[in-house]
Amino acid sequence: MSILTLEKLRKVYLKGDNKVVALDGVDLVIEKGEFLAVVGPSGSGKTTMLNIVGCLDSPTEGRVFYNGSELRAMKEKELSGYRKSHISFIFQSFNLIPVLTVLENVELPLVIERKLKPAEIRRKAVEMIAAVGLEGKENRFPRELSGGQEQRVAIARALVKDPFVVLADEPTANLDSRTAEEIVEIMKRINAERRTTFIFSTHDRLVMGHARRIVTLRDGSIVSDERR
Amino acid sequence: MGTLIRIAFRNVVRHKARTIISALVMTFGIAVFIFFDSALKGMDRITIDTMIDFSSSSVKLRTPGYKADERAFPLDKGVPDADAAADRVESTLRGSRATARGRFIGSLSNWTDEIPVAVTAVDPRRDGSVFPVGGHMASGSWLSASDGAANALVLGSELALELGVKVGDLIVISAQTAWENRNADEFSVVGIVNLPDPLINRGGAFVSRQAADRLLGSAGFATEIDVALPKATALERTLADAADAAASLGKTFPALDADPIGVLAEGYLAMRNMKSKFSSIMIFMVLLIAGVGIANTILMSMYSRIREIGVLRAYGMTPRDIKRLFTFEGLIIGLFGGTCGVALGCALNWFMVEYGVSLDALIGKMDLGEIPLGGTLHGEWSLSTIVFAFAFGIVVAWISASVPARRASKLEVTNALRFV
Ligand SMILES: Nc1ncnc2c1ncn2[C@@H]1O[C@H](COP(=O)(O)OP(=O)(O)OP(=O)(O)O)[C@@H](O)[C@H]1O
Ligand SMILES: [Mg+2]
Repeated sequence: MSILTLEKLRKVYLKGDNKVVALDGVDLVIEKGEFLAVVGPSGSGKTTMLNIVGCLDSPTEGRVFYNGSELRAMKEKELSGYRKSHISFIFQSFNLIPVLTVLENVELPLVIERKLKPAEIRRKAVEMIAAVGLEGKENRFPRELSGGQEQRVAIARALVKDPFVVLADEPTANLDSRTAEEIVEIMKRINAERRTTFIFSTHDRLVMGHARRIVTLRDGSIVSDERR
Repeated sequence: MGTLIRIAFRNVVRHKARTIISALVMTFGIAVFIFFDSALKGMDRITIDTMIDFSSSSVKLRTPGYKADERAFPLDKGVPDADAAADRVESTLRGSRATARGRFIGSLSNWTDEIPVAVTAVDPRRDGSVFPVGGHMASGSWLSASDGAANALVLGSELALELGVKVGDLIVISAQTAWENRNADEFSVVGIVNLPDPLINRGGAFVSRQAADRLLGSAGFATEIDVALPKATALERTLADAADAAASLGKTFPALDADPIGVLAEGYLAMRNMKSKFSSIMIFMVLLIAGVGIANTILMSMYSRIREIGVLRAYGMTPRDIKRLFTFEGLIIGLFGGTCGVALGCALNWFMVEYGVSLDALIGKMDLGEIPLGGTLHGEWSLSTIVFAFAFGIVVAWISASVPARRASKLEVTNALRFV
């Protein structure tokens, strides 16, 4: 069953009098458990596509379906409600909350979600921190970690709430190639273990090599879609 | 909610310098607020107490006719049977003391200069139980019961200086009599008083009522009954007690007007209200500046954390949560500044309550016109002022944090995430 369907997605930005067409008719069907890389030159629309999939932005035209139901004309409040329970993000610059410890950062999505009891939240967060290999670092602050460790915390934060989909916009761009590889491997392992759907964008050939499906964008359109 | 407060609190702690600077203004504002209010209350206390002790008493009984014509010092509109009336006051109001006084215009002459003053005729046997003037003799002594037979005179210190007389010297007092002619007689100065009330020092002249009767050709001359009540500790209580006593005396003496100190000091109290309005405006300005400081701090905090806002929003925090996050930050700064302000204000105030500030040293010989103000100024504790100052500070912090917090909540998520 498709977990996510994009239909004739168009996104036009207005920059003064100029129209910038960031996405120009994107059709894409994504199955549960995919490990998908979105690649393409700078300005090709990768971030724009991930933002729309992540309910951070809405398309100018076209439709987005999650599990067969359309997310259309949702108000900002409903969109953030949807993000809260179903979508997670990993960012290029890690973006951990600097004043929260590793444990508190990982707990945060569940705290925002407000569904579980504190003890359950703690248990899940501790488990997730162990899954990314950071046990013992629970009470560290982000500034005490290396970039790779920070991104592992970000992965734990993204996965703690069992999202439909994890969206990662250039998750390795700020890391050296060895650490980048490590991070992708962790993502891949979790994808295999939990069947969590990952969609990430990247410029890095090494990272691309780990993807099982590569969608290439150029000028806002999909120019190739290969499965491996 | 707990997490929002935690994030807010840690950010406040993390940027110590910024926090302390913006809290400091709040601290200063609240401390000054508490201190000023205390000083003003202390001044009120001195002024009202001085008026009660040396000129107004707590309740004054006069005929309506005398009151209407007060400035002319009429001799024929006095209180009839004044001594009996004073006795009746004392038996009506438990714990009160009453005395009769008469006021007339007399010309004091030392054979070279002549100075017209309002002479006060007192009952030497009971006056001291209402007006403790006798405790403030610069030289000589207060009028005694035996002085009734002789022509004895007590003068205010500056008046004595102006007339160039000392204890033992003679003064001629001339006055319009009850029979519309003038009479004059020699009085010997038996005492010179130096009171906290500068008006009396400048123009006070006291003789016995018997001597006044001889000079004016009257019998039992008295224009007012002055009533002293047991002392209350709080100023508000003093005013309320006097008002109650006046109401009850008004019933006992339907032919007389009973005016409590609150009415007698009307002029002063009106001025005090203006004064406290002025200082309220000043404090308000200080707290306004504190508010601008807090708003600025929160704005800085927001700009340095735009991406963080994006992350929180991406993970499902609502704009309202973001607004709360930054409002909490302002509130924490306000709470901190406010608490320090209350502590500092109380410390300053404790000093002023315990040790006081010498007003004579502070304002020197400044002329405050009609207002008797001198001696040592002691502060007054006022819980309501402290609570109000603190609450006001918190409200200011809250309002000033709300503005940038609102702005933070309005950021577009995608823009916030792209922000470098
Ligand atoms: N908020 C915006 N306002 C105006 N134009 C925008 C906005 N966001 C993106 N664009 C434009 O849309 C196009 C696609 O941008 P997008 O960020 O999706 O590209 P990208 O593939 O992520 O590029 P990169 O690899 O550099 O991150 C670009 O031409 C960009 O300038
Ligand atoms: Mg991009």
